[in-house]
Amino acid sequence: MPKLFGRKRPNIRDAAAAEVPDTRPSAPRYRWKGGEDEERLDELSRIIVGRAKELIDHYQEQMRKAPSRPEAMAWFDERARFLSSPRIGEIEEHKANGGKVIGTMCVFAPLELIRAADAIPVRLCSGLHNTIATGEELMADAGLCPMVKSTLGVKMTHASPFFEASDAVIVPMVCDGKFKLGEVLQDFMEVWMVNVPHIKDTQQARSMWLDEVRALQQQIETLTGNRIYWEELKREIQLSLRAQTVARRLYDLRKADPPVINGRDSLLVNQTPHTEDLSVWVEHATVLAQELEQRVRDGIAVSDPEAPRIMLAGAPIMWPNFKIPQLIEESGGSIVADELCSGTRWLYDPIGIDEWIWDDMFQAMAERYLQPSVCPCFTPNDPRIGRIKQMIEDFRVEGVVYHVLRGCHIYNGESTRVKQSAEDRGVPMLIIETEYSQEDTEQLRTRVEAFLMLVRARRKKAAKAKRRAFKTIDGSEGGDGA
Amino acid sequence: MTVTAGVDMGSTATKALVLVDGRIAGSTARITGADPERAGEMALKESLDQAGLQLEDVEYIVATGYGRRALELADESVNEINANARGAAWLGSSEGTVRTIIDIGGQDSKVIALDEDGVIADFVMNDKCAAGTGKFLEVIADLLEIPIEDLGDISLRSTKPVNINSTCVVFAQSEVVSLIARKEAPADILAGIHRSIASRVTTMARRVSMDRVVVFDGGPAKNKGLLAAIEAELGHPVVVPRHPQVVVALGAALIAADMLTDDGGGA
Ligand code: SF4
Ligand code: SF4
Repeated sequence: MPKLFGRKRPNIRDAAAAEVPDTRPSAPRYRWKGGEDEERLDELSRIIVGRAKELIDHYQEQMRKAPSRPEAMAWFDERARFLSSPRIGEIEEHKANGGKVIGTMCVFAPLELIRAADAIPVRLCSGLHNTIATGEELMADAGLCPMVKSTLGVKMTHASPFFEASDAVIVPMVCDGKFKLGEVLQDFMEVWMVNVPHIKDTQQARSMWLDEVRALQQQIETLTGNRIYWEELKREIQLSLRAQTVARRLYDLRKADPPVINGRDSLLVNQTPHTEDLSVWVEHATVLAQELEQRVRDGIAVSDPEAPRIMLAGAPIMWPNFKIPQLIEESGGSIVADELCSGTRWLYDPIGIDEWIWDDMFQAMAERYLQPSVCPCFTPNDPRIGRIKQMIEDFRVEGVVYHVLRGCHIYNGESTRVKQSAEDRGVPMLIIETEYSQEDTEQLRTRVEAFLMLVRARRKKAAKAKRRAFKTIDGSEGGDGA
Repeated sequence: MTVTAGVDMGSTATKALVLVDGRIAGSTARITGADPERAGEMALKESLDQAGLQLEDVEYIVATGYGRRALELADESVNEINANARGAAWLGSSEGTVRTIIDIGGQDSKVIALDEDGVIADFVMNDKCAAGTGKFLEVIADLLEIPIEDLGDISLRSTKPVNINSTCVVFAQSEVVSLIARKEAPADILAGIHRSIASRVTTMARRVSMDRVVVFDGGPAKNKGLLAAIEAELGHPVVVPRHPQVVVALGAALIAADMLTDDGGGA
């Protein structure tokens, strides 16, 4: 068998020798007038941050309206006000002590390596609406996904303290939007592009991916000046495993009928680790899980126990872009499952370690970002279909809402297949193509409401059919009231 | 005597219908204008007048349509897709169970597929752009200075429909201006416009349903030229109810009646 690793456990001297080419261009490639006038930029930034806070307040207010919201959500609420979260202070302190912060996008950056080097990983994919216009000044493509433009706009306007704190950002080459975004961002910060193989289960893809992760390791070590040792990596893998265990517990709790937690809250809980200290998150998520387990025992429903059970699928929904989940739940649906990369997807297939030796650990850690991933940037992506079918069954899903961000072709491209396979299981699916703006809310509401009615009507019909079947077996009359 | 009413608060027109013991006793349609609530009240009053009834006689009122929340005297509001399905399924068709509804409204168009029991199976909507909606027809009628009711008859006289390339209303408008300048016959221009709308909505229809029993409703369904164009695109006949504009209001009135019986209503 060919050796996958050229070297064993790295040591400091290797690090000194490892030359990491500086990928930053010496002069900016893009001219951006808005960035030159600092005073006006500050003003713009203030306006954007103000509006973003209003948006966050708006959704939080809506979410707090749930009649019996779990008390443990309080901590997540506080952290969700991320533009003024106490986390910012923690990160500033970390940086003042010489610590580094590394931005990530999507779900491909090896977080364990970042943490093992004592750096803080923060996911920078943005859900802010009002930075899009600024992003468009450098990426004017009208057909480009709003998440990409929003993320760029956040950097250009210095709106997010997490972006500002990042010493570098890891950008995976998953879709056209992301890799051109990485290019433009190079004018603003250090960018580490990562090649993600789109056909992933070949030997070439595996070894290429391992090389990519090894290169990242070097970049991380050079930036932080910290070598990553066996002990630290093991510690961080174990932390990830602990986090996934709690997340899995929370995931299973959503199978409860009636539901014990709202879909919006679940989504928020799953997104909090994007910026938080994972070990702190584990504590709070555990408290939440205990509270929810108690609710299951006591039979306390968070919303209408008869609400149609909806699964949210498709393109990422990033806090505070909660337009779609808000619409679904305010129209009377209950989101009991999601397969979003900004939702539960990060907990699929925990890192499997047979033996805690460096090579095995490293390989298992790296591979878990690739092999179990069902991101539509891969082809063929049959496992995603299989996973969705399984979730429909496990969570007793009655309807799927498939979210497409306009311009996200990879998610749109898979929508027909997902729809057909949901329908094969007798579950209807609504495809919603939208952007971040609130403009289309009322039109979408009409669709969502009609869809929920459709789901209810199907449920009624199924119940009737069941009663009829029962009657024929039973041979007796009656029981069919309506 | 059970009296219920449905009020369809559309973007362009407001429709009301009164149902007495499962029979249509009165119905009206009027321009929505700037005050939707008043339009709704007026439409309801006119339908009640036709039926010889007073507001107090009505046991249950259901509002529907984009402006449904504006009508305070309604007891309940329902989604217009459901109301449309209910109304069209109730009217039925001599061809068999209604399985597909094409609805063209003032500012949107939709296609609803029903299953064999009249329950909604799927739907698609175009509410992003005015192409394929009543608005498009209005704009063109204005340009050609032809009353909107006459569009259908005139277009049926066309011998050689023009090709309209733009699907966007704004661009189509300038295209029509240049067609007029080129002295194309209004009949041919209109036939081209109808064809363009028909091709848009039938593409939507094919996405949700291939069933042949198709009902076409909404105000523009009164346009015979548009109907002919849709039939030509689909390749089979399409049923238009006698009063296509009030099908959604009818559905709302039927749902109101359902709500009085304890079934709880719904599609
Ligand atoms: S789906 Fe994949 S490519 Fe798209 S944002 Fe999520 S992780 Fe990134
Ligand atoms: S949402 Fe789609 S287009 Fe946008 S970054 Fe993710 S994968 Fe790319």
